[in-house]
Amino acid sequence: MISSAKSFYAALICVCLLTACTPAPDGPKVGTARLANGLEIIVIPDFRADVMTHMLWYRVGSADEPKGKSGIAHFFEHLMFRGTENIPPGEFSKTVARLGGQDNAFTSYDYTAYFQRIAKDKLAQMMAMEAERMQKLIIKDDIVAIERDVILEERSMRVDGRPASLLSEKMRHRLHKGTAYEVPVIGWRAEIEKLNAADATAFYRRYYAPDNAVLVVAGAVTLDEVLALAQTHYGALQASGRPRAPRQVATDLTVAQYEQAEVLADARVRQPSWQRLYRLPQYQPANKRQFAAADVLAEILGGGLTARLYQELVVTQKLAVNIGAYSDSSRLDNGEFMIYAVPAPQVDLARLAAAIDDEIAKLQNAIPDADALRRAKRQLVSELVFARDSQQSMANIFGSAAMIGLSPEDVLAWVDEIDAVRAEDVQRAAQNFLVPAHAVTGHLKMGDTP
Amino acid sequence: MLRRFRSPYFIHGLIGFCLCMMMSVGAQAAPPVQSVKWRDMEAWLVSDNSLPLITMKMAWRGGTASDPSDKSGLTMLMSRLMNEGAGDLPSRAFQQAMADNAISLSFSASRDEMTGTLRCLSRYRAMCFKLLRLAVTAPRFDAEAVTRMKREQATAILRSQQNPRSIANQELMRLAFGTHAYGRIGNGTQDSLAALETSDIRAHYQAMLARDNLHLAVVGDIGRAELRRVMRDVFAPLPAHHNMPQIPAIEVQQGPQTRHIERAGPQTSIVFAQAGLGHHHPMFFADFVMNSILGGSGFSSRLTAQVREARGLAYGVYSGTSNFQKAAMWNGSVASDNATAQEAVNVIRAEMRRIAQEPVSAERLAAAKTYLTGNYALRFDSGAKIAGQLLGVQLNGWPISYFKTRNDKINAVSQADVQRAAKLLTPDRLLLVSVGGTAITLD
Repeated sequence: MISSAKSFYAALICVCLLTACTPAPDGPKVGTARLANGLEIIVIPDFRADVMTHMLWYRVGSADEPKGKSGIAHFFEHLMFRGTENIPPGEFSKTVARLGGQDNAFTSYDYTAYFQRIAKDKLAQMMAMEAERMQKLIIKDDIVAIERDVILEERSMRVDGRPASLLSEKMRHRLHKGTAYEVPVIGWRAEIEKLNAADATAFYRRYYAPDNAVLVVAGAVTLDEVLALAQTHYGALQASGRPRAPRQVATDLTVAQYEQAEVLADARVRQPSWQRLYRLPQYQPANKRQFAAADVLAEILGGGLTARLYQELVVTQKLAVNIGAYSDSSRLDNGEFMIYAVPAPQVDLARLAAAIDDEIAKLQNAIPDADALRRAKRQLVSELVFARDSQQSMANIFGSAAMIGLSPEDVLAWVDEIDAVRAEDVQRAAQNFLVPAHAVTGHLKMGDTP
Repeated sequence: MLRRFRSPYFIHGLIGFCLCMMMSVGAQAAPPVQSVKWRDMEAWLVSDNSLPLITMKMAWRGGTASDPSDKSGLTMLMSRLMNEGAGDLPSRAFQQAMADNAISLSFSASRDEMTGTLRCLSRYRAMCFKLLRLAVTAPRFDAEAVTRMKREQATAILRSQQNPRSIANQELMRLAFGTHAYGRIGNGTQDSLAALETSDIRAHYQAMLARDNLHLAVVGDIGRAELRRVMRDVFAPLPAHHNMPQIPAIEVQQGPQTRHIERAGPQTSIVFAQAGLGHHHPMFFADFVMNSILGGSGFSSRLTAQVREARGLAYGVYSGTSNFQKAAMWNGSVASDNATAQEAVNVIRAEMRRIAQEPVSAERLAAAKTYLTGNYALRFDSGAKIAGQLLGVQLNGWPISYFKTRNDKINAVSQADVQRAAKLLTPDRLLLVSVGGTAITLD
């Protein structure tokens, strides 16, 4: 049963930031619907090629893991490829490939997503397979043991063999202390080593249900086509009636011993680097304006070669070779504002940090000039226009937004939110968000030992 | 909003890598490609106004392998400077003009070419092509920018030395090509980079950027007539003929030869190579299908099945062809725990022997064909990807009809063809580099 279906036109193509923004008639038409079992549906039609991206997003990520079971969300994602009642182990991806498609999946703090990219006439079959593994997965000890080794190899490759990743892991552990984000998405090695079939089964039963998922299809399909097929393939799945539990969010953003940098000195390092993560308040619709201002702030401060940090520290003072900033508020719990820099040879990291702090202070003490503000807004908004070129990007944007409770309308309204940011808002964002006590600073250095 | 979606995440698997910048191009799914000519120049065009965007890719033959032997890093440095000021716009003014008009113009270099990528919104097309013309015909190479980009490139060299995979690849290229230009590192060495002068860059620019070594691919909200005007305005001012050295052809050194670089950490990163088949070899498609079955098709490859799914020895394992303009190489990679790295390599070599000894089944071959032919359409679902395909086919030296004939050629490959291609694999005579805690042997 389909309880609601609607579609609307959106205003992605307004780069007319100085004048009133009029929605262009050729903006994307994003359709949404919901099945009676709670499965939400988002459809982004794009008929330029006869292919589509079929994604199933689950509202569960590493931040929802039980204590001591870090890594289970990602580990479980791997097991979703290892056999169901009707699909033997190893056959899921092979079937997609044989049909001319490709598949993959990914896990983050707040979500887990599975997708196939394939010819549009294979949509029904992709749905049948995805629905099958939502509730008919088989979790066996021997497969679990092998997959655990695969994941330990993945951790070795992405984290343990890379000092820069190890440093980020340590920094986030301190930054988000006391909340779920203190644990890395892939999990701690010692805990991954102990994950077992029982853990995976419990996790599966708790979170994998249609009312905890969002179906996103982008490509050569209409909302009506998707709805009809979704009803057939997903409609019979049983709702769990158990949305994930709300998590602890930090309201006091102060970080313990924030004055003390996290230092990682490692013999494998050849190029030192510096980074700082600021903890942001939780994103809420009521204060979304200040997060739009944070996006503009990041762009003005560190959004590329025309940004303040690059012009001042790389071009003028020659203290850094590369530098940038970005704001990530698209999370359920606390977001992050990041500044990263590669020092010029022989430049002390403390001196670099002082110069960065000077630039931050300038933005806290005065409003940015009109040219910089206009340029930053245009850059941000045009990125969303360029994203329309890729059906996969569109599916990712609307899917990940849905995971933190943002509707397609919310995503599209972001353009107007950016447009509405005033110079004073940017200054206020710099004052409110770039607070030394809310941050962890990291130093990656050359050392004697790994 | 887009900047927000950068939270750390982990994906299920990797789909291989390629040592060269060349894309493996693989069908019918391609949109209609037109050839557009203006005097001695040709561009391949897919005109589509369903989005208000234009993407242009341009490449000049003569990449990092064309660096004089005592000036390695020169092409890479030049590519970094191509959007750092042109005409009467110094670096900052040029960058601001791009930002003010939502224009993205960047350049990169691989062993065989320097490639530029331009993306713009239709509404800013005039400024977009104006800046492109300035960048292509009148780059400034100001001293400030040269110094700054040399520092950036010096950093890139250091960074590549802290990544186990790139450490291994650099050593593998040295083993494969010795003192040939392909054996050198594109960014150069700290010493060679430091010695480069602005006059070197100017001379290199004048020798490389011409019309007869230019390849153009254009996609999006632009028609034939406008493209011809762009070709006239932007590229016609370039010299008719380039003046770059000929890169001699070279065969990949024959193994067995192994190198080990000790590095702390739980894992050993391994790359290996042997001679491969070039893009114009009669067995190219047989080899392409064989590689897909063996190690090139990600989750459905035999290497993934044996190394990852059956034994849990690695997260990613890959093999396939990396072709250069003057060399054909087959290569692969895996990273495995120090305790299991040798076993992972043994399994890979056993799979290389098996595919040569046992003919693949008719079912497996059919599955490989439907995968490769069906997947082709996925390379044409965005303007940026289409432009990449149009340029890749040109650089591979294939005709414009390739987009229509490619899938037929794949479908014509027989079981015997696959086996013939597999018999060219030499698992006992590989070049192999290991970086980590275990020195790998080929015993």
